[in-house]
Amino acid sequence: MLNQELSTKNNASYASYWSTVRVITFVLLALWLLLNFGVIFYARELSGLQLFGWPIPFYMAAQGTILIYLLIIGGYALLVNRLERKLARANESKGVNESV
Amino acid sequence: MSQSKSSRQLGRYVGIFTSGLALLLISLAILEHEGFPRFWLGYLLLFTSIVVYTGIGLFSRTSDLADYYVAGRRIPSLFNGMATAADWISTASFIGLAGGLYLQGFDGLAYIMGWTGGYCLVALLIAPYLRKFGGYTVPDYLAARFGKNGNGNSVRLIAVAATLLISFMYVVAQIYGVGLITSRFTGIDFSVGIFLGLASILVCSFLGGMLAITWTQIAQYIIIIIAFTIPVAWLSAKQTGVPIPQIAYGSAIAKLTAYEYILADDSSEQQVRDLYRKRAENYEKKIAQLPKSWDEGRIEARKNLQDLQTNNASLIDIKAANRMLTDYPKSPADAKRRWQQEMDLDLARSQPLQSHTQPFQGFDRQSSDIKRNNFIALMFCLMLGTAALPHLLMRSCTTTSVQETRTSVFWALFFIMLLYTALPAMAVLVKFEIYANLVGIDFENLPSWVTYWANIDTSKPMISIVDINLDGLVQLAEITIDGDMIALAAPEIAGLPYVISALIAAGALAAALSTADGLLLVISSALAHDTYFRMVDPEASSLRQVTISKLLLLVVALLATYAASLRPGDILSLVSAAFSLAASTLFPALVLGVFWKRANQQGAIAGMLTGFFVCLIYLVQTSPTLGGDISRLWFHIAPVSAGIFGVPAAFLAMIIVSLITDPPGPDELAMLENLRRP
Repeated sequence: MLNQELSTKNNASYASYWSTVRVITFVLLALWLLLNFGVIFYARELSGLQLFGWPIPFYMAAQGTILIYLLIIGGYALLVNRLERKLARANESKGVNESV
Repeated sequence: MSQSKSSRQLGRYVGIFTSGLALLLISLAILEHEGFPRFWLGYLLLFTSIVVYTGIGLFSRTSDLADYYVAGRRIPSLFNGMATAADWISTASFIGLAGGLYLQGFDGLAYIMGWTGGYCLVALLIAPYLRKFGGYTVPDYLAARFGKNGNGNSVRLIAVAATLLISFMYVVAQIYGVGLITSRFTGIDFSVGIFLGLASILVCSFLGGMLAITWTQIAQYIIIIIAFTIPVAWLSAKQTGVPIPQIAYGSAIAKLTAYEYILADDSSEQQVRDLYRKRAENYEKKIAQLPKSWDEGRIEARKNLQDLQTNNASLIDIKAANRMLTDYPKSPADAKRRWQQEMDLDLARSQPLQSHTQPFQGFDRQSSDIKRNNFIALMFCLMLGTAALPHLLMRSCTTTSVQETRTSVFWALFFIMLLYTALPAMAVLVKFEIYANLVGIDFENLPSWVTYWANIDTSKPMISIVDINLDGLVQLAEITIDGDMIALAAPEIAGLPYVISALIAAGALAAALSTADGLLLVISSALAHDTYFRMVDPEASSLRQVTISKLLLLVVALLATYAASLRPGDILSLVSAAFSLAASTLFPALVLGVFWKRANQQGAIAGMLTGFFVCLIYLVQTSPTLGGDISRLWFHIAPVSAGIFGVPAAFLAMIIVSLITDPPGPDELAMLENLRRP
C-alpha cells in the first residue's frame, strides 16, 4: 500500500519535472528564435550603429550571437541538470529505491 | 570518481600531445631556417600527423560492440565536446568558409550563424533524449519511438536511406578535400593523395570504431585549432597590435572600410571596371551573331597564327596563338555556352566594389530584400540540418550520462566557437592585407605567394592578376581570387615562415579526416546495425556484427573514394544542400517524437517522406547543377535552402496524418514516458 502511494507521488514529481523542462526548453527556444530573426531582419537598419569599431549587425552575426547560443546551452544544461539532481535527492530522502 | 580520474589522465595525454606538436613545429622551423627545402617540410608535417592518427587507431582497436559504436559510453563531457568539434569542423568550414566570407562579406555570415545556432536545437530538443534512449544510432531511436515492440522497421528503413544519402554526399566532399590538400602541399598526384588519406581514415575507423575515432578526433581538434589560430593571431597582432583577433579586429574593420571608400572612387579602378563592361558587351554582340561570329572568330584565330609564323614572331607568341586556336569553341553551341560564361564573369567583375560589412547590398530595395530572405532561409536550413545530421547526433551517445550529454554539447559549441569566431576575423584581416599591400603595387614586384598560388594549377588558377588597363599597376578589379585559397595561403600572405603554411595544411587535413571518420562510421552502422542486425539477422553475435560493420565500412570508403576521384566539382556545391535534406527528412520526426505524444508511426512515415520529396523536387527543379532552372524558384529562395519548404511540409504532413490515424500504442507511449524522465 505504502509503496504504491510513494510511486504515485513519484510519478507526480516526474510529471512536474517534465513540465518544468518543457517550460525551460520553450523559453530558451523563443529567445533563440527572436535573436536570430531580429538580428538579421533589422540588420540594415542597425548597420549604422557601432560597437568597439564593429558595425552592430556584423558583430552580432560574426560572434555576438554565438556567445548567446553558448549561454543558452550552458543555461539549459545548468538548470535541467540541477533540477534532476534535486529530484534524485528528494527521492532518496523519501526512501524510494531506484527502481526505474 | 573514476570519471574524474580518466579526465585527468586524458588531460595529461592532451598535454603531452600538444607539447609534442609544439616541439615538432619548433624543430621544423629550425630546419627551415637552416635551408631545408619547403617541399620536404610539407611532407614531414602531413605524414607525421597521418602516422599519429594511424597509431592512435591501432592502439585503440576493438571488437567490443559498445566500444565500436558508442565508445563504450565513457567519454567525459569536455573531451566529448572536443571530439564533437573536430567531427563538426569539415573541409568546408576550414577551407571554404574563410574564402566564402572573404568573397561575400556580411552575407556569408549565414554559414557562421547557421552552423553554430543549430547547436541550440541539438542541446535543447534532441541530444539528451537520444542519449536517454541509449541506442546506437538515430534510425534505432526513431524505430523505437515509432513502432510496435520498439521495432518500426518502415520508419527505420526511411531513416537509414536518409542517413546514407546525406552522409555519403558529405563524405565524398571530405575525401575530395583530402586529395586537394595532399596534392597541393606535397606535389603528389590527386588520386594518390586521396588513397593515402583513405588509408589513414580506414586504419582509424576500421580497427577501432567510435573509440579510436574519439581519441583521434581529440588530437585532430588540437591540430586544427593551433593551425588556424597562429596565422590569424599573427595578422591581428600585425594590424591591430593585439594578438587576440576576436577582441581586436574591430579596428581593422574601420581601416578596411576606409580603403573601400578610396578604392570605390579611384579612377583607374573605374577604368578597369569599364573595360570589363566593354568585354562583356563584346561577348553579348558575338552571342547575338551566332553562328556567323563563331566562323569569323575561328578564321581569324587561324590567320593570326599563320601571320605570326610567316613573320618569324617569338616562340611564346606563336605558342599562345596556337593555344588560342586549339581552345577555340568546338561548335556554335559550345561557343554560346562558353561566351555566356565569360560574359557573366566579366559583368561580375565590372560591378562596383561591395562593402565588406554592409548587409544585403542590392540595386534596389527589392533585390536587397531577396538577399535578406535568402540569408534567413539559408541560416534556418543550416540550423535545422545541424540538429538532424546523424554523424553529429551519434556523438551525443558516447557520454557517460544524460547530464554529461547536456554539458558535452556546451563544450562542443565552445570549441567550435574558438574556430568560428576566428573565421570572419581571418577574412577581414586577409582582405585588409590585400587591399593595403597588393593593390597599387607594380606588376614587376608581385609578392612570391601570388606567383606560387597562380601556378599550382594553371588550368584553373587560384589567383590571377591581369593588367587589363596596361598601366603596370595592380588594381583591385584586376585580381580574381578563388575563395579556397584564402585560408591555405593566409600564412604566406601574413609573411609567416613556410612551416606555418605546412601546419595549416595539416590542420585542413585533420578537419577533413576527422569528419570523414565520423561519417564513415555512421554509414557503416546504418548498414550493419540497422539494416543487417535489426532487419536481416537479429541473432547475429556481437563479433559478427562488428566484423560485418568493418567490412561494409571498407566497401563504403572505397566507393566514396572512387566517387571523389571523379572530381565531382558539382557535388561540393551540393554539400550544403545535404543540410536541407537532413532538416526536411529527420528533424520533424526527431522533435515531434519527444514533444508531441500524439505523434505516431504513420505520421512519422508521412512526414519523413513528404519532407524528403518536397526538398528533393525543389532541388532538382531549381538547381542548375542538377539540370534545373533558376527561373522556377519560389519566392526567389536559392536551391540550397530547399529545406525552408521541406521542413514545414514535413511538420504539416506528420501532424495531419498522426491525427487522422490511431494514437500510438502502449509500447511507444512507455518508451516516450521513459524519455521524458530524468
